[in-house]
Amino acid sequence: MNKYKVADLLHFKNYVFTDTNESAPHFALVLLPSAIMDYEHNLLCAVVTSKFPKKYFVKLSKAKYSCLTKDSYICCSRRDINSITDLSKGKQPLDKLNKVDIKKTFKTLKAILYGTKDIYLMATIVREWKKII
Amino acid sequence: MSRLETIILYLLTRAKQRGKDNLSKIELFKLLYLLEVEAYKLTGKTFFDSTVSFTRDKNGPISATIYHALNDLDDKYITINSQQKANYPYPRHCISLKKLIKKINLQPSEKIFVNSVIEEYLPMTISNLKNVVYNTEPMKKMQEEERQQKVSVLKGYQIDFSSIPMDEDMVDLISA
Repeated sequence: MNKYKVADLLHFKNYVFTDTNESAPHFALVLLPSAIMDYEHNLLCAVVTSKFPKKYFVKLSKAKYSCLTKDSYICCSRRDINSITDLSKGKQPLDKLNKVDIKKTFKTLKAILYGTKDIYLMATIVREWKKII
Repeated sequence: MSRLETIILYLLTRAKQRGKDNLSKIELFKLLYLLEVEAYKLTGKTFFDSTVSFTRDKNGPISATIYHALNDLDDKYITINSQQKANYPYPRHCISLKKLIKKINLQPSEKIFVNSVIEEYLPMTISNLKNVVYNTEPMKKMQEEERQQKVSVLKGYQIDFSSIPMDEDMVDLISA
């Protein structure tokens, strides 16, 4: 069983955007742990990018996260399922969100989940994130 | 196949993936009860359907509907064996999958919800599971009632899930 947990920061050599099926190397935040996914090689992630998103983001400072070379942003409105087979080589996870950023991210995730009709996805994200807050 | 039967098969499949080839009847009842408690806590409604109810028994909540579902699944999808341990007077009823179920008719998000609950409780011993169950709101309410009526067990009394307070974050989200 792989070990990736909520709030881990990973780097994918091939991060797939579920809606467009496009892919690129990207940092990503684990939204749901692999242990509870339907297929355990999958992870529910939000992409982390240095490009400034218009809304629903949490800023990650490169000063706080040594794996980042630029200040970056968690795009909390994205929920992409990615495979651990697409992770970059080397030590993973690269880092984990600190307590302050965990709280900020959870707050932002809730703002997005507010309009979601899928009650069990909503319930699971809330359940898993509240374990680490 | 009923929704309850589907959920039972999914639990057994998940347990098998986690290296547990079988679950005892007591474990299964407790896991299904805790799944229902978590569903009420996070969604305010049952995870099963209106036909599934739990009643108080001397070892915690049981459900006639689950017994019936297990009987309906027996032989075709599951096997129920009795095992006797040398140092324990009662047999252990072990429930295992007869064959691997390829297609489980649950939504992906329903599966991850079940997984989230099961991942937390599946590794626990029966004794720890029992402690968790007795510390849930419906069982605390039942035990309070038993104290008031000065009886050890209100056997057969229906478990009231409406006593479970809903998660505050979920209240905000659902009221959208």
